[in-house]
Parts: sequence; C-alpha cells; structure tokens
Amino acid sequence: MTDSTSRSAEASAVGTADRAIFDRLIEPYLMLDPGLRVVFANRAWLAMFGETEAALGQCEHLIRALVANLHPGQRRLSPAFSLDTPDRAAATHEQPSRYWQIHVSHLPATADEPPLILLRFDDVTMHTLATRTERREKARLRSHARLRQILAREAEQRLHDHRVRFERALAFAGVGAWELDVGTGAVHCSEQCVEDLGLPDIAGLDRQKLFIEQPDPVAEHWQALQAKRSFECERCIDGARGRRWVLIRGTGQFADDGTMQSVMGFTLDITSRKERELELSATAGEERSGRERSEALAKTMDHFIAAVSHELRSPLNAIVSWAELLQVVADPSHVARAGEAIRRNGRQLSHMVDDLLDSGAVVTGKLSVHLQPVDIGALALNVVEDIRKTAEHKGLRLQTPHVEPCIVMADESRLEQVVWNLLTNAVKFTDAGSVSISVSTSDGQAVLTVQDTGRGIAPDALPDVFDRFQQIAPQSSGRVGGLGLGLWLVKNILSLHGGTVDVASAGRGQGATFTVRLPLDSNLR
Amino acid sequence: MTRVLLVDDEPDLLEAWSFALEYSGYEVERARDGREAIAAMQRSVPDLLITDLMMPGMDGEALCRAVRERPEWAAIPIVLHTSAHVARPSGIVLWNALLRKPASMDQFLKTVAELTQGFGQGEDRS
Repeated sequence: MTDSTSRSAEASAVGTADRAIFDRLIEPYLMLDPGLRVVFANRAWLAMFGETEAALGQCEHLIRALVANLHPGQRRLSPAFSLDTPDRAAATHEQPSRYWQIHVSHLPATADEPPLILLRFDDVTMHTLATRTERREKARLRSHARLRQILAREAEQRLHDHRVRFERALAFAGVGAWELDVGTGAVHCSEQCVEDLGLPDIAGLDRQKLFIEQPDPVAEHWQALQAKRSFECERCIDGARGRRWVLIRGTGQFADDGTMQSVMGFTLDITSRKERELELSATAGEERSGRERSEALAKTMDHFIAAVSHELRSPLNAIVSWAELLQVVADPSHVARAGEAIRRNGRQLSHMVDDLLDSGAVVTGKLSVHLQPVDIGALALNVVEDIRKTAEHKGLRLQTPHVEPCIVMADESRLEQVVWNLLTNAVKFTDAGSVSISVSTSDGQAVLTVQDTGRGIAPDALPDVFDRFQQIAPQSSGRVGGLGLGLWLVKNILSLHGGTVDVASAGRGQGATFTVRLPLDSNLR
Repeated sequence: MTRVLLVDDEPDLLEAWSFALEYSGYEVERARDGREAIAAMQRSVPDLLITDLMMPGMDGEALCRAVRERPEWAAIPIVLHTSAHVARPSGIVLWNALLRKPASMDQFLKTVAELTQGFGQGEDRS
C-alpha cells in the first residue's frame, strides 16, 4: 500500500485489516506504543504531515504531556496548536499556520495485541482562527467602548466645566438663564433665574410655574418669536425679597424645518435702575403737575382779579353815576331815588367786599359764627326786599310762595349772607321768568329753597357748582358774571351751622333749585 | 326833540344816565345789549347812540361795527362809555367820543350836547 519503511516495520503491532480501515479514514491518525514510538500512521496522516519523525518532533512535548498518566481506557483532548505541514513550511509567512487538536485514546492491551495510544489529529484551523478573530474583535470593541466612555466622560466633564463657568459668569453678571421647551412646556433655568423671578423652588418647574406673573411673556410675544425676533419685557414681581423689577429677554430656537422648538432667554434684575427711572418720572410728573397746577392757579387768579375788578366796578359806577346826578337834580323825589340807588349799590358793594374778606377767613379756617336764635323765614323776606329792585330791573318776578317762620340757631349776618348769595346768584343767571324762595320745616329741619327759571346747570357741571371760582361758562357771555365765591361761601357758612346746601337742575336752560337744610333750634323743636 | 339810544347791561347805570339825559331834555330809548339796540334802531333811528363796551351777547364794539355798516345808520354819532381802556381801531371811526366810565355829569352832558348839535360831523372829541 505504501512504500514507507516505518509502516512496514511496525506491521506486527497493527493488523492488516485495521490498517486498511484507518487508511480509509479522512482524519489523520497516528498510533504509538507506550514508549511513544510510532506504530502506525494512516494514509491521511502521511499525506498531511509526511515523514513521521519530522512532524512528531514538532509536537513531541505536547504529546508527552498529553499521555502522561493516561491510563488504559482513558481519553484526552489537547489544546489547539499550530503545526506546519510540509507543504506550508515553505510557504510565505503571511499565510497563517494550520491549527490542530489531538484526541488521545489509550487503547488497553488485548490478548494478542499490546496496548496502543491512538492519536487523532483534528484540523481546527477554521475554528481557532474564527475564535481568535472573534476574540480580537471583541477586544477591539471593548477597547472602543472603553475609549468612547472615556471620551464621553471627558466631554461631559468639559461640558460641566463650561456650564459651571458659564453659570458663574451669568451669576457674576447677575443674569439668569432659562429655556422653555415649546412642545412639552418643560423648563430648564439657572438658580439666578429662579431668584429673579421670585420662584419658590427650582425643582419641578414648568411653563406655568416659571411665569407666574401673567400674561406669560412667551405667549405675549408669540408672534415676534415666530417671526424669529427676540422679545424683551419688564415685569414687576412681588416676592420674598419685596417688589423687584425684572427684565426678561427671550428668543426662539428653530429646528431645520422651521418649527420653533424652544425659547431661550435671560432674566436680569433691574430693580435699582427701574426704581430710579420711576422716581425720575414721578419727579418729572410732580414737577409737571406742579407747574400745571401753578399755571392753572395763575390763570384762575387772573380770571378772579378780572372778575373782582369788574364786579366791584359795576356798583361803584352806579354809586358815582347817581352821585353825579345829585349835582344836577334838585327835586326831592329825584334826590330820594338817587339816594336809594346809592344805598342799594353801596350794600351790594359791601356784600362783595364781605365775600372777599370771608373767603380769606374760610381758607385760613378763621371764619367764625356767633349762634343765636334767628327766624330764617323773616330773614329771607328781608333779603328778598333788598334784591327785589335788581330782579325787577331784569324783568324777573321775585316770588315768595310759601315762607313760614322757622327758628334756627344761626349767626344772623352769616345767614343773611347765605340767602343773599343764593338769591343774587339766581337773579344773575336768570334772564327771564321768575325766582322763588320758600321756607318751611321738615323732619326737624328748616328747609329753604331758591328756585329759578334761569340758565340751569349741565349734569356734569353740578358737582362743581359749590367750588370756588366756578361759574357757568363765565367767558361765553362776553363778560365776567361774578366773583365765583358766593356759592362756595354758602356751602362753607352752612357747614359751620351744621347745615347743608344741595343743587338740582334738569340741565341747561331748565332752571335750578338750591335747597338749604338747617337743624331747627333744639329748644323749640 | 333829540332822541338818544342808551345801551348798558347794568340796570342801575341805565337808569341813572337815562334819568340824567331825560332831566336835561332828551328823549331816551334804553337797551341792555347790542341786539336790543339794533332792534330799537330798526323801530326808530336815534340822533345819538351811547353804548357800554362789555355786555353779554352782542358787545359795544360789535354794535358800533353793525351801525357803521348800515348806510342809513353810518352817520349816527356814537359815544363809547366804558371803564375799560380801549384802543381805537385803525381805518374806521367806530365811535365819535370815548367817555371813561363813570364820566362826570358835566362831561357826559357836554359830550352829548356837542354831538347832537352837529349831526354826522364824525369828530372824535375824546
């Protein structure tokens, strides 16, 4: 079968039939005697390794180790090892060696045969290489993963450092940072931002909690944000640190498709600046309103002085004119008429001067009253007679439809002043028709009403009627109609008596009714 | 009889000066403002117009202009009797005499007499 000398030499140990079978097997087999001498190498072995001595020399140590203490009937498996076959020995170094694994079986001796050591050489090159590649690949992956981990950790550390440095810079600048996820409403913000916005806690913040002060600035400036413009607004926040002003700026962050993903922004406490600003504008406002007040006051004073001179001049002119007349008339009846006119105008003048003096007393709080029982009914009738002439000159009827005696505790001259002012006021502002005065008692009070058919008072002017220097359209008539003190004095004098005065008018051209109420003298009630 | 139209919104002055004029022999018509004066002149044209300046409604100056604009009235002599200091408007003789109110009776009657003796002279005697 083969011309190998070694095979023929061992023929006695392995039967011919056995050899034939082994030669047909494709795995390389080797049989050794207990002294590790080659008894038989099958055809596959010889084809693979050639001369037995050469191949065995390469793996003698391994085989010795494998069979050491291997008892008959036992089997063992070697680790994979490389063994160069003759055809490969000359091959280039680049080509990998083949790997083998040896299955060792210690065949016990039989009756006619000595014990044998059977070695089967399994080619495990592919498996070994695959395993090795896999192991190398795994190692490579492991090292990559480790590298990534290291890189990630380093990046994280750098990011952290950056963030810390950034936040420190922001904190140093007193700037808070925030970011709002538009989709989820989730919020990230710095501690400074939390402090600026007066929020109780940094944890669990969302959009509602971030912007407690409504309206939500992001919602308020939504259009600007969508148009990729940043917004800026100032908010006044009442928090634990008192009232603070905060500047909030924000700008949208957009995805590639143009949808806004988040809004990022800053907060800045501008309280000191804002307070100074408010203070300045308040000061400016005060100065302005002060200037306006003083201008208005100056205007009122000018108007008042014009009114006073004109009003004082009218009776004065009448007195001088009638006095002039006395030079030319000798008839006693004419003299009496002139005297009456002088007396009447003199009284009017004296009332005006009284009003002027009293207005000063009212302003300084020095207007005094000397209270005593006075019949307001009789007093009213006296005043009516003083004014009758003036009313009749204007073609007005001065009527006293119902005047009953009413005793009140009052300063007689002051009360006279009240009735005089109300009646002259009614006559002054009535161009046609009548002026009526009545006095009665009602609910423990004396009620005096002066009703006229005059120019009336517009509803919006009613509340100002009793103010000083207020007159119905004083300029529109082409001349000044009075001092603008009468009704103001009436109100003040009555309040010193515990009384009141009210006005009612259905409007312009509808006449007016003034109603005075005074408590009746308690002794007579 | 010489007719005088006296215009003043103060009833006492109207009475005093009309009394003085009547006492001196003039026929006096009274009006309390410019409108009443125009109405009175439409009824009968006076020989002299004496008017106050500051009056409600139509004031003295407006009355003077209205009179000067009407050809049939333009020649009526006018006395402006006022306590106000007024400047005479240029280009037109609105009034013929200016009396400071209250004028003395002598001056008043003297001015009235002069203006009513030479109708349409247009001379300012103030």
